[in-house]
Amino acid sequence: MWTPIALSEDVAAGTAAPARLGGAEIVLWRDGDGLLQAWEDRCPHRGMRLSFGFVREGRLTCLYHGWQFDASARCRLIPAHPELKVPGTIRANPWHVRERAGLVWVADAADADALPTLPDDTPMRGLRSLAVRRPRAAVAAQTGIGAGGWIWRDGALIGLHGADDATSMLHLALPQSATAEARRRTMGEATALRDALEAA
Amino acid sequence: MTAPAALVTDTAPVLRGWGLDDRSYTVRLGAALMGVGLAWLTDRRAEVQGPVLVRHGRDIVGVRAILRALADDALHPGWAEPAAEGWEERAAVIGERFSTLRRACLAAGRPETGSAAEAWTLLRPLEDRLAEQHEAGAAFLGGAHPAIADLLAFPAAALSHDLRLPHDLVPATRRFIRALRAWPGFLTMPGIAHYQ
Amino acid sequence: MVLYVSTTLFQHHGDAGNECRASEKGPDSLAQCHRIRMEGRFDAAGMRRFAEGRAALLDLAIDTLDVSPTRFDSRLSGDEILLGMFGMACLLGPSGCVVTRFESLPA
Ligand code: FES
Repeated sequence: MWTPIALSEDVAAGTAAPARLGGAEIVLWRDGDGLLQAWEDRCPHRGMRLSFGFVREGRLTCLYHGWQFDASARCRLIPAHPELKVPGTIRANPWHVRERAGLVWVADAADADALPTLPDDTPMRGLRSLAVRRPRAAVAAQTGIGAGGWIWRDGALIGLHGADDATSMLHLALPQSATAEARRRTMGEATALRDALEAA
Repeated sequence: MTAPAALVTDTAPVLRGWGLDDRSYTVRLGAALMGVGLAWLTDRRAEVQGPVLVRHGRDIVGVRAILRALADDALHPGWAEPAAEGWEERAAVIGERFSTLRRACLAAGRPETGSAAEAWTLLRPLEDRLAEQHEAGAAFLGGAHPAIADLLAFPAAALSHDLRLPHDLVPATRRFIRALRAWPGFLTMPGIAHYQ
Repeated sequence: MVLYVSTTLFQHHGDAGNECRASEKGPDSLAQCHRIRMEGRFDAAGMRRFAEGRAALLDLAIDTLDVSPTRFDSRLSGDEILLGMFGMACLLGPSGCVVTRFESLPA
């Protein structure tokens, strides 16, 4: 099952960002060329959050002891033992990740066909992700967002994921052709939607 | 862009602060980013009472007032610009309240019940403002150049995990943290790394 | 608590009698075989899971010889540096495990 988890633009090239899905901690990161990865947010060495790390030369480097992981999730360098040929068993734990319609989607099993069908000729741009202090099920019920985790509303794409038992996140994207005025208006509506959901 | 050179002279203002105090850090960070020389004196009392700036023979207390005084000597006039819509004042309140909550949490050894809820209340307006600013093409609370409001809000944003408010829930705040961290002269404190 | 760590733990032992998986490793690797024994207080099943999981992560072959709530005895083979890392990981142990004595000797 693919779930929208962030805006594409919220994971800038050469940076790492944290995300949580149903309590599972995930690091999203991009190399300098913009290639996106999603892994369990846990260094195989001593469990440090990889999202605290930094990206250099196409590798995510753990902030704690500097182990470096390349795009294949394999550890390529252990700075304390630079001469060591690091075995392929030392690797981060990847999720499946795709980008579509301005959003980042993750899945814990390869199921690309289950991605929502969106108009290919409508390139989207992320607007805002915002946290809602309500469980995912409650937000889904109130907004009509189905199991797929997304819905079209008034020309905007709204994605939804549950970060933990008590907190959800809405992700909004608009067609790239949307005017600045339309973006501002939708931004205000999104904030109002969040406040209404929390007040319910 | 290179970091402004902060020259510490005999007449430089002296900060009496504490290394793990977020308010003392706010002042050190401000001076470093503004390019204002600052001498540092460790004073444990600052952990509870906050830092004191001794400048031209006068003691200045309160982080906002200290930053205002430093901004008078800043190389770039942008630092002294008050942020629009009262954000300097709002950020001062956020910073002070956050600092109090954080001290209570650290003293208790773990976040107290309710501190995460209060952290939400404090940081949500900041997240909303930063999201709007980003949409308007500005990285900071007042515009494209950081100002005192940004310094006042920064520790609350960057150390929010001390109150169990994880950064995955505040993407606009994350972007703001990255923007200030990339500013020439940026300084760290325990819990705030500098690596991007 | 006395923490005893064998001084041989992080040393290279070019022991000719050591018949580890040298042939399975790359030509640059210093394949070694170590007998690793630990004493302390731990949940036996948890310690076993942890040690075998760490060995798999570090690409070490492990033969668990004896495990009880106070003792863990195993034979491991693989790269010398990775054996050292295995030892350090076990010393820190999984939560709830206290290692009071640790020994790693070429087998
Ligand atoms: S915990 Fe990541 S390198 Fe040690």
